[in-house]
Order: sequence, then structure tokens, then C-alpha cells
Amino acid sequence: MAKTKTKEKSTGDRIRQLVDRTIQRNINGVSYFLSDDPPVGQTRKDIIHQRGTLQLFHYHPLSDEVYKTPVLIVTPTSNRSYVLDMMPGVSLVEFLLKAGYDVFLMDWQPPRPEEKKLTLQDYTQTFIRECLDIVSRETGEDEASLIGYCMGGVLATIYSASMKCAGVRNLACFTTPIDFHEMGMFTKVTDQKHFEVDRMVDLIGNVPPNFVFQGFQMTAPAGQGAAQINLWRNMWDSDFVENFRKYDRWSNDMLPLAGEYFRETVKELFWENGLYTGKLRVGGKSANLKNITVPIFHACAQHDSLVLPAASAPLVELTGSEDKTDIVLKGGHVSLVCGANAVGRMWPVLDDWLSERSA
Amino acid sequence: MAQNKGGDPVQKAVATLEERVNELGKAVFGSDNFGKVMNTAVTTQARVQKRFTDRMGKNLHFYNMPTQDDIVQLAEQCGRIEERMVAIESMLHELLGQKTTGARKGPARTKKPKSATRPKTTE
Repeated sequence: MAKTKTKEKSTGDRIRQLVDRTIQRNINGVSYFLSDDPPVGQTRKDIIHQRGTLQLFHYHPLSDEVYKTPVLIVTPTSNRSYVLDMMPGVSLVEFLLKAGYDVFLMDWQPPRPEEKKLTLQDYTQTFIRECLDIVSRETGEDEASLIGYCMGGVLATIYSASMKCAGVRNLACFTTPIDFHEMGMFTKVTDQKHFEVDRMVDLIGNVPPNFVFQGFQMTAPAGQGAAQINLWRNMWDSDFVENFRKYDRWSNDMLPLAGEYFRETVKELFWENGLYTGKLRVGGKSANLKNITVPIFHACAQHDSLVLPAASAPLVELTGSEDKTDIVLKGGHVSLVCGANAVGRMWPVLDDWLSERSA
Repeated sequence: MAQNKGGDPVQKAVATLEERVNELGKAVFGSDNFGKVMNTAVTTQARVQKRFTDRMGKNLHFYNMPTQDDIVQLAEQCGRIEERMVAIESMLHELLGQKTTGARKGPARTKKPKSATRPKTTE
């Protein structure tokens, strides 16, 4: 008797839940299509330097005492930087500020048509150098910890290698490709046999974001469809919908790439595999990873479909540093740095590592 | 997304389907033929865009209006001025010796590493 009553109750509960969810799904569904883009990148900051495609942010401190060494984050040139400051509680920037770091971030705006001539040298030896100088001026410290995510990590690495780590105390990279012949779909799409990068850049100048976006889509063609199914199934959950919108906004909000920079990336990194072979020269200087002698930290994601672990694995191995930390964490390319996975896994490990090397 | 396999059978089915489609997609997109087709499509698109821009430029000149190239040239000049300003600014900072004294006021930079503040455990 009691058993039947429990069963009835559970069926009733299930029906009630179904009705509740259907109502909530409709409410959230309507608001999903009618409301504006959700707010992102809300941590308070000042823009302390602007130059064409480059902006330098200085975040307001969130602790009474900070570490001596400031942190300069280099974000990927193809994406908006707010992935590192998505929302309160899910923001690497906010986490670092609360942990006692003085945080600066290099943010990229769409390159203007006249910036099509920007090269790898401009992005590294000019822009990073310039930002390090400004950070030094703002803080009174001669050195900063460079943190790079994805292509931002490549820029930070090239800078450190070619400038013999000038102004860099520590280098931390997340999912940073080094062996570009192991980049899976990207390696195939940009294959020298059929990809005419010269003709493309000569014709259009800056590479439009939809070209880069298509490249990303090709690494996981079913990703968008599966995401939409998951959205529909969780439409009743307001938090899920809000988070989904923020990530969706970010993944569709891509930046064009400066033409010459794209040409060099394809030729020097994808075709010649210069970073991996140690033959890359930028601005006449060797960018051999052996030149990196500062403490280095690298985190890569086990299920990364964009930067395959095999592509990023050689980074730590090839550097000349004596203090090396290399970790592989569960998760994907984005969830490594943003989201519940990052909050619980990567950020605390990074903080532990950086804390010991920042005082 | 694909690795998110919970106990929910629908979720599992979606993840499995996603994995299979991704594998299929990779096989197709990774082929030489697809690469050739893709390159032709991209180049054609770029060429059409270029022709359209050239045509538009001629029309704008006819109406005495600046073309995109004219604006780009102006912007390049502004960029060069901006670059020189940055260089002048940093030279001024060095001349005025602000490198060591101009740091903004903020929290004290005295935070100790975690290991130094962690209470020592006795065995």
C-alpha cells in the first residue's frame, strides 16, 4: 500500500515537474529571443593604453595587499578577451584579483583595414614589449608574469623566446600550440598543397572573422547542433540559459585577423613549423624556445578539439627553463579557462604555482 | 560537449551522435578534395569581393567621394602619428624619470607566497 502511494506521489511529482519545466521553457524561450546580449566583462577596469587593434586594461584591485609581480594576460587574437572575464564568479581575472594579483590584460579590437600590414613582430616585440613597459611604469616593477591563452600563449612564447624574456619573470600558457603539424583540422585546411594564402591575403587584406569561425566549426561540425539540443532540453533552467547565451555570444563573436599576421602564421608556423623546429625568426631574432629560461607553467585540456594536446605538449619540453610545470586537465579548450571546470581545476593550480613565484 | 556523458539516456544519445558526426565531418573536411574545393571557394569569394570593391571605388571617385583606399591611407597616416606619439611618450617618461617614481598608488605590493603564510603542521 505504502509502496503504491510512493509510486503515485513520484508520478505526480514528475507530472508537476514536466508542467513546471514546460512553462519555464516557454518563458525562457521568449526572453531568449527578445532580450539583448547578456552583459560580459564586468570586472572594473581602466583602459590605460590604446593603439589601433590593441587596448591595455588595468583591473581595479580586489584585495588589500597584492603580490610584488604584476600579471599581464595576452589573449588570443581571434577572440574577444571577455572569455577570461565572463561573469562574476566565472572570471579568471576576478579570481586572480581576489587572490592578490595586480592584473593587466591585452585586449584586441578588430584590426582596421590599414592594420593589415601588422606582422608577428608587431604583435610580439612591439605590442607586448610596449605593454610590459607600461605595466612597469604603472606598478614600478621591472618584471611581470606573462599569461597567454591559446594564440595569446603563442605570442607570449614568441616574445619571451625572441626577446630573451626581457621584462618577464614567469611565463604561464594555456593550450598553446607549438607543433603546428599536429593541429588536426587546421593543419589540413591550411595545407600548402592547396591553400593559397598569398592570393587570399593579397585580395582581401584582413582575414574576415567568418573564415576563422568556419575553421573552428570544422573541428567539431556537430558541436553547434548538439549545443542547440542541449539548450532546448535545459531551456527551463534560467541559469543554464543565461550561461549558454554568454558562451554562445563569445563563440560567435570572433575577430578578423590582420592580413600579414595571418600570412606569417600560416607560412612560418603551420607550413614551416618554426616554433617546433626552433628555426622561427621574428624581427631578425631567433625565437628558439631554448631562449626561454624563466619559470614556465603550461596547462592543456584532455578533450581539446581546437588545440590538440599533441600540438601543445612540446612547449615545456623544448624550453630552456629549469623550473617547468606541465599539467593536463580534464575538459575542453574553453572549459579549461572558463566555467565550473576551470574554477575547480585549473585556477587553483595556477594560483598555487604563481603565488610562489610572484612575491 | 561530447565528453559530457551523464546518466541521462537522451544526453548520452546526443553525445554519441555528436561524436559520430564529428568523426565523419573530420574525415570529409580533412580530405584533399575538400581542401581543394575549400580553397577554390575562398579564393573565388575573395576575388568577387575585390572586384566589387574596385567597381565601388570607381563609382565613388565619379561622385567625388573618398574610397576605402583613400580612408585607409588617411588612417595609415594617423597610425604613424600614433606610433610616434607612443615613442615620444615613452621617451618623455624616461627623461622625467617616472619609471621608478610614477607608479600609481594602490594596495601594498607586499603579499607573501602561500607557502609562507600556511600554518606549519607538526608531525
